Amino acid sequence: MKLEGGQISTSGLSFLLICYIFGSTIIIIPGREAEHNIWLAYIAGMTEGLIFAFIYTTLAQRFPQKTLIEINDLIYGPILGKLISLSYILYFLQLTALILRDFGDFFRGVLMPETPLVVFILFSALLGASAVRNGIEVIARCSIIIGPLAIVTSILVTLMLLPQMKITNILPIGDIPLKDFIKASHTVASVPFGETIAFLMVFAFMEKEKVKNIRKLTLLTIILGSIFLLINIFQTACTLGKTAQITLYPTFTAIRLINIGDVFTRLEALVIFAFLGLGFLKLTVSYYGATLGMAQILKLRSYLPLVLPLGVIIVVTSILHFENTIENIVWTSDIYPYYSIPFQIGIPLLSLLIAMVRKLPKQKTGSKQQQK
Amino acid sequence: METLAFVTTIGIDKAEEPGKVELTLQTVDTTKISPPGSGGGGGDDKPVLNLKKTGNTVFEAIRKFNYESSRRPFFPHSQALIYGEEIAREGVGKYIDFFERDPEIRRNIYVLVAKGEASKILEGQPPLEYTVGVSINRVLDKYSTTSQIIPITLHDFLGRLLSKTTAPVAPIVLVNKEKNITLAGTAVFKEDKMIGELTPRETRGLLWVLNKAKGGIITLELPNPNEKISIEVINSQCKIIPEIKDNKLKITVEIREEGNLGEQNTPEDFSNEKSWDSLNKLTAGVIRSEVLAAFKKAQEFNADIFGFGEAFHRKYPAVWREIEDDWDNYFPFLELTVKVESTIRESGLAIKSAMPK
Repeated sequence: MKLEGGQISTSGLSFLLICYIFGSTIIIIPGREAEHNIWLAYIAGMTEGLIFAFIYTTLAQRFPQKTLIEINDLIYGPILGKLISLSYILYFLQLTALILRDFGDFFRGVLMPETPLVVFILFSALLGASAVRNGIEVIARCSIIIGPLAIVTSILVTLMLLPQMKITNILPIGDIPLKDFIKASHTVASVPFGETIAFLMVFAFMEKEKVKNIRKLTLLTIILGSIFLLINIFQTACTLGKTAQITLYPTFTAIRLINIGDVFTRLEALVIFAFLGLGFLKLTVSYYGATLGMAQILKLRSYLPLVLPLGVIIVVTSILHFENTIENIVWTSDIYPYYSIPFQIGIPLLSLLIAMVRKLPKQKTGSKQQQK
Repeated sequence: METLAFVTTIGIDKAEEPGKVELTLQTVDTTKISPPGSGGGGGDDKPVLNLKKTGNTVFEAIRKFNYESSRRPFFPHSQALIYGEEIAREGVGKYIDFFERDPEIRRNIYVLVAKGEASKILEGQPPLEYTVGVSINRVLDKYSTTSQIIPITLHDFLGRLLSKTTAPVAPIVLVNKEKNITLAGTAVFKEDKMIGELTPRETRGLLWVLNKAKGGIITLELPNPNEKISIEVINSQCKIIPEIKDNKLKITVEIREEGNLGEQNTPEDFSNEKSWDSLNKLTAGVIRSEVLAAFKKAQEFNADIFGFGEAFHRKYPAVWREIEDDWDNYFPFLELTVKVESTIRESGLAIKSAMPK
C-alpha cells in the first residue's frame, strides 16, 4: 500500500519549511504583547521552536519513512494510537481552517471589504484542495518557486522601509516584565514553530538517502527562516514603534508607509501577492497532513476521495470558528498558545520518551512487516 | 472612476450643534476636467468641489455626503487632514480614530491644524495647484527649504499620541491676506488637546533637536544692524544625551551643522580663516538661541515635544518607571545644555563680495 508516491528533495523541504514559518505569522505578527521588545520575544520563541523541531525530527529519524500516524500506531498500539492520530487529524483540520480564516479576514479587511468572507475562504480552499490532490512532491516544488520570491520581496520591502525605520523604536532592550515576556515568546513558539508538527506527515517522503539528514536540514532551515522572519519583525517594529500595538496587521501598515521619491509607493498590492503564496503553502501542508492521516487511519488505497469532503469541513469550520476579528485576536494570543501545548510538545515528547524506553522501532525488518 | 468622488483634503470642525462634528471634504470635480485635446481650459474655474456635512461621528458625516453626492467619497488619494483650531483645542482624540481604522486612509497623509476654521482653509486659494490638499502636501514635502515648518504625518501624530510623555505637534495652516494658503508655525498638543503655538523660529528650534532640520536659511546679525549674512543649511545631525546626576535630570543636545555662505550684504571680506571662523561662531549662536527658545516655550506649555522623556526611558529604563507617571512634574525643571558645532563649507561662486567698502 502506498498512499503517496512522490518524493521531496532537500531544497523542496527547506523552502516549504521557510514558507510555512512565514505563513500567517507575517500578517498577524503574534506576540505583540512584548511591545518594543518583540524581537527579543521572537528570539526566545525561535529557540523554543528549535527544541520542538529537535523532538519532531528525532522522531522522524527514529522511524524513517513513517508518518506521524504510523509512528503513533507503533508507539501506542493500534487502538490508543488511532485515537491520538484522530485527535491530530482534527488539530490539522482546525489549523487549516484557522490559516484560511486569517487570510480571509486579511484580504477582506484590507483589499475587498465588500466581498463576503466565504468567497476568499472557498477559493483558497479549492486551490489548496487541488494542490493536495497533486501530492506532496508538487507542493514542495511550488515552494521552490514561491519561497525565493517571498524572500526577495521581504528583503526588498525591508530595504525600501529603511528611511522610515528608527532604531530608537526598539529601545530600551529588555524593559519588560518576565511574565509578559514568557507569554509573548511562547505565543511566538506556538504559532509558526510548533505548527511544524504537521511536517511529521511530510518527512516520511524525503528522498530515501537523505533521511539521515532530516534533523540537521530542518534545524538549519528553521534557523534560516527565523532570521528572515526576525528581519521582518525588526523592520515592522522599527517602522511602526508604538503604533504597532493598535494596528491589526502591522506588516501591512508598515508596507503602506513605503515612499521612495514618490515613485516607489503604494506597493502593498504587490507584497500581498507574496503573502498569498505563503498562506497557500502553509494551508496546503496542514490540509495535506489531515487528508493523508485520515486515509492512513482508514487504511484506504488512495487519499484522493477524502480531499473534497475534508475540504468542506475545513471551509465550514473556518467560517464558524470566529464570529468576529476580535475573537480571532483573543484566540491567537490567549487561548491557542495553551490549547496547542499537547499537540505541539506534550504528545511528541511523550512519544519520543516511550520510543526510547521501549527501544522502538525494534528492528528494521520488524517495522517493515508491521507496515503490511 | 464614475462612481467615486476623489477626496483630496479633509477638514474637521466643531459643528454648531454641541457634540457634533462638521466635516468638509474637498473633492476633484471630474465633470469640470476637460479631456485633453478638446481645447480651452475651464477658465478660472478650478475643478474642485467642497462639500460640508455634520454628524455625531466622522464616519456618520462621511456617509451623509451621499444624500446629495451621487459619487462615493474615495479617500486613498487624500493628502491632508486639517483640524479646525476650536476642535483641536477641545481634543482631536475623538476624531482621529476613523482615520487610523479605515483601510482607505493611508498613514502618510499629513495632519495639520487650521488657524480658525478648517472649512475656511479649503475655500482658500492654493497657489499654483488645483487643490488645497496637493498644495499643502507639496509644501510639506519640501519643508526643508526653510526648515521652519514641521511635516507631521498621521503616522507620526499617532505615535506621539500613543506615547505617555512625548507631546503631539502639527503644522498650522492659514489663509493670508491675499487669500492664499500658507503654512506658519506649529501647534503644540498636550495629550490630544492643542494648548499653544510655536513660531516659525521656534519650530526650527524643534526641528534641530528632532534631527529634521536638513536645510533652511540662517540669517546672521552683525554688530552693525544693517549688515546681514545668510547661511544656507546643508545638513545637521543631533544627539540627545540624557543624564541623571544627584537626582537632577539633565539633557545635553549636541548639534552638528553644515552650511554654505549664501549671501552677504556687507562689504566685509570673509576670504581669510579668521573671519570665516567668526561665521561659524555666529551661526552656532543662532542655532542655540532657536533651540533654547523652543525649549522655553515647551516648558511653559509643559509639553515634551522633543521626546526627551523617551530618551530618559531608553537610557535609564529602571529609574524611568518611577519618573514616567510623574513626568509632568519633571519636565518644567529639566536642565538643557545646547552644544552647537557649526561648519560653513562653501562660499558659492564668489570669494569676495563686490560691494564697495
